[in-house]
Amino acid sequence: MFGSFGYKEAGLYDEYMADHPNIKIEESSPQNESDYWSALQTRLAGNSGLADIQGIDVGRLALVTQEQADKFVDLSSLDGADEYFGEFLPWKVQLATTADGAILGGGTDVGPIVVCYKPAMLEAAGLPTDREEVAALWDTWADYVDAGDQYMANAPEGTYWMDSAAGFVRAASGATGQRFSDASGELVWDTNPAVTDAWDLAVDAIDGGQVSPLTQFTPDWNKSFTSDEYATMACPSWMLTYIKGQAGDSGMGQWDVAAAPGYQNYGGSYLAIPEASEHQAEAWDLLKFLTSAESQKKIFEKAGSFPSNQGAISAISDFQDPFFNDAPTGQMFTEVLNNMPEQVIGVNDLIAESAILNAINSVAQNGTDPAQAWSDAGAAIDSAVG
Amino acid sequence: MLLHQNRKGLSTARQGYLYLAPFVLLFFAFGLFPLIYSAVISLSDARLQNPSGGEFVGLENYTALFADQFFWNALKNTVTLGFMAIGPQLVIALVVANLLNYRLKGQLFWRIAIIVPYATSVAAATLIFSQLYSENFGLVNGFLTTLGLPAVNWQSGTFASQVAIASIVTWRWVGYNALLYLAAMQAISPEQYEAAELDGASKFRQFLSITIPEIRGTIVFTVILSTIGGMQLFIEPLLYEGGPTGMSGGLSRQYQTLALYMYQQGWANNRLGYGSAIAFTTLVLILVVLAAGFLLVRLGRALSDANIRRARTQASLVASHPEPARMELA
Repeated sequence: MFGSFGYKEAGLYDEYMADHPNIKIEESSPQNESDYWSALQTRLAGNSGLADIQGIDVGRLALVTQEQADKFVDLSSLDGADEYFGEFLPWKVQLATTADGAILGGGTDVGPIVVCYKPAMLEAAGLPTDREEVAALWDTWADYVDAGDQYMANAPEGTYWMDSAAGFVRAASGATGQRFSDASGELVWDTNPAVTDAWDLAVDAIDGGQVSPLTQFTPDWNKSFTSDEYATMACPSWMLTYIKGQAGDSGMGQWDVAAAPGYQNYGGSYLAIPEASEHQAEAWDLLKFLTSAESQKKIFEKAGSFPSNQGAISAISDFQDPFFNDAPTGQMFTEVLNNMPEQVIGVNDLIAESAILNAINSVAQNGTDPAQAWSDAGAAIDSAVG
Repeated sequence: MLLHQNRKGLSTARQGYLYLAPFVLLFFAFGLFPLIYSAVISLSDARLQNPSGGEFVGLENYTALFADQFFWNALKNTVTLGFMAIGPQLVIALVVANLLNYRLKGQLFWRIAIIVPYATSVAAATLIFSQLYSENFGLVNGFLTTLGLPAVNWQSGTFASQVAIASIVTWRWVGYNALLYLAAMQAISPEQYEAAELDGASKFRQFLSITIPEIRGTIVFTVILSTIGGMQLFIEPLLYEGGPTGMSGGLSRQYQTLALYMYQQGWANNRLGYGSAIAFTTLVLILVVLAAGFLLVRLGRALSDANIRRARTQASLVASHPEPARMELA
C-alpha cells in the first residue's frame, strides 16, 4: 500500500535523527494515493507547499519522467549516485529514468505477487491447506478460478473464494508486464490479451458466485479482514503489510501464503526530491539512507514492503513471516522477482486501470452486463484522456 | 476618533473606502481573479502539470462538454440529489422551528442542540453515515433485517445511494435552516396568533395561514441558499464510499455530482481546461437557476399584490354598485 512506507514502524526516522541532531523529519502519511497525487500536482504547479522528499507511485512514474522532469531533481548528478543506483534492480531504476538519462526517483518497494489464503476456510471446503499443495491447485489464473468453483461447491455459507473483482484483474493482468500501454506509450488495454483475458476470467469467476462484492481500499473491505468473508486474495508484497495492519494481532496465524500462478509485479513506489526543495543535499542524504540495503531489510522485516535494493533482497532471502504461519516470504517473493517480465508503464496507466477496475467491480456488485461495463470503461477512459 | 473632527484628516468618504479596502482586495485576490482565470483557462487545453501553458482552443471544451455523457449524468445527479436533499431539509426545518417557537422547558438547550450537526465537520459526518449505511456491517441494514425487511444496497444502488447522501446533507442543514426560520418566526406579532386562537383556528391552521406566509421571505432565502449549496455538493459524495471510487461518485457514477466531475477531470485526469469549463458551466447554471428563482418570486409577489388590489377595488365597488362593477372588471 502506497499510504505507508513503514519507515516509522521500522524506527528509521528515530535512528536517522539520532545520528543527525540537526535534522528533524516530519512525515505526512496519506491513505489514498489519488488524493495524494492530486494534492502533489497542485503543489508542483504552484511551486509551493512541497515536502523535501515526495513519494511517487510507480503508476505515475511515466507521467513524471515524460511531463514533469523539470520539477524534480536529477538524482544521477548528485554525490555518490553511480554507486547508489548500482545497488538497485536495473528495471526499477530504468522506470525512473527519463529519455535524457536523468534519474528522478530512488526505488523503495516492489510488488511481486503471491496468493494469501486462510487455511481454515480451505479446510472447511475440503481443499488442501499446505502452501505447497495449495499452490499446486493452479498453474494459471484460469486454474485459480477453477479452484474457486471447487471451493464454492463445499464452501461455508456466505463465504467467497476471492476478495474482489478488481484485485483479481490487477493480479491476473500482470503476466506479461504490459498492461494498459505498450512500450511506445500508446493505450492498448482494449486489445491487449493480458487485460482482456483477465477480464474474461473475472467475469467467469463472478458468474460462478466466487467473488465477494467488495471494493478494495474502502472501509467495508478493510473490515473484511477481521471476519471470514473470503478464502483467498491476490497479494502483492505490500498487501501483506496491509493485511497485518487491518487484521491486527488477532489475525496472527490465520493467514498463509502460496505461490501465485505465474510471476507478476503489482505496484511499488519511489522517493523523489522536488526542485523546489530548500534542503536538497539533506534530502538526498536521507533518501539514500531510507532506501539503503540495511534500511530496506528492516522495513521488510518490520512492515513487509519488499525491497528493490539488491543488497536488501539477498539479505532477506531466508526471512519467514510469523504472521503468515512462518511462510518463507523472503524466498517466495525473490523467486517471483527473478522471473518477472519487464514492466511497461504509460502516462495514462492509472486512468485506464481505475476505469477498468470500476467496471469489473460494477459487474460483480451491481450485476452490470459485462459487455456494457467494458464499453463504459472505454467511454470513461476516452473522457479522461480527452 | 470622532468623525466631525475629521476635516484635517481623511474625509469620511475616503475613510469608508479604507474600511472596505481589505474586503475588496480579498475579493479581487480570491473571488474575481480565480473567476476570470478559470474562464480564460476553460478556453485552453491547459493541463494540471502546466496550468498556464495551455493552447487556446476556443469553445472546444464547451462543445465537448455538451456531447459528454458523463457531464449530463453529473448534471442529472446534481439535480436529483438537490431535490432529495433540499425538499425534506426545508420541510423538516420548518416543522422543527415551529416546535421550537412554542414555550418549551430548556428552550436554549434545544436550540443549541439543533445547530450541533451543522457545527460538525462534513468529513466526520460523512464517514459516520457511510458506516451506518455500510451494506454488510451497517446499522441501517442491521435494523432493516431485524425487522424482516430486505437489506438495501446503499452504496451501489443509484436511488438508494442518492437517498443516503441526501440524508447526510439534510442532517447537517436542518438545524441551520430551522434557526433562520425561528428568528423570522419570533418577529411575527403574537396578536395574530391570539386573534386566530379566538377564532378557533387549530395550531396547524395557524402554522399554515399565519406562520408560513409571514416568513415567506426567509423561506425564499433558504431555498436560494440551499440551491447554491446543492449545485456545489462535493465532500459528501466524495467521501461517502471513500477509497478509489470516491472521485467518480461510485462505481458507475451513480452519484457523481458536477463538482465531483470537475474535480475528477481537473485533478485526477489533469485536464485543467476541461475542468474549468465544467466549473464555469456550473456557475452559469447557478446564475440561471437563481434568476429563475427571483423571477418566480417577483411574479408571485406581483400576482398577490394584484389580487390584493383587485380584492380592495372589488370591495369598494361592491359597496357602491354591486352588479355592474363586476361586469366591468370581467
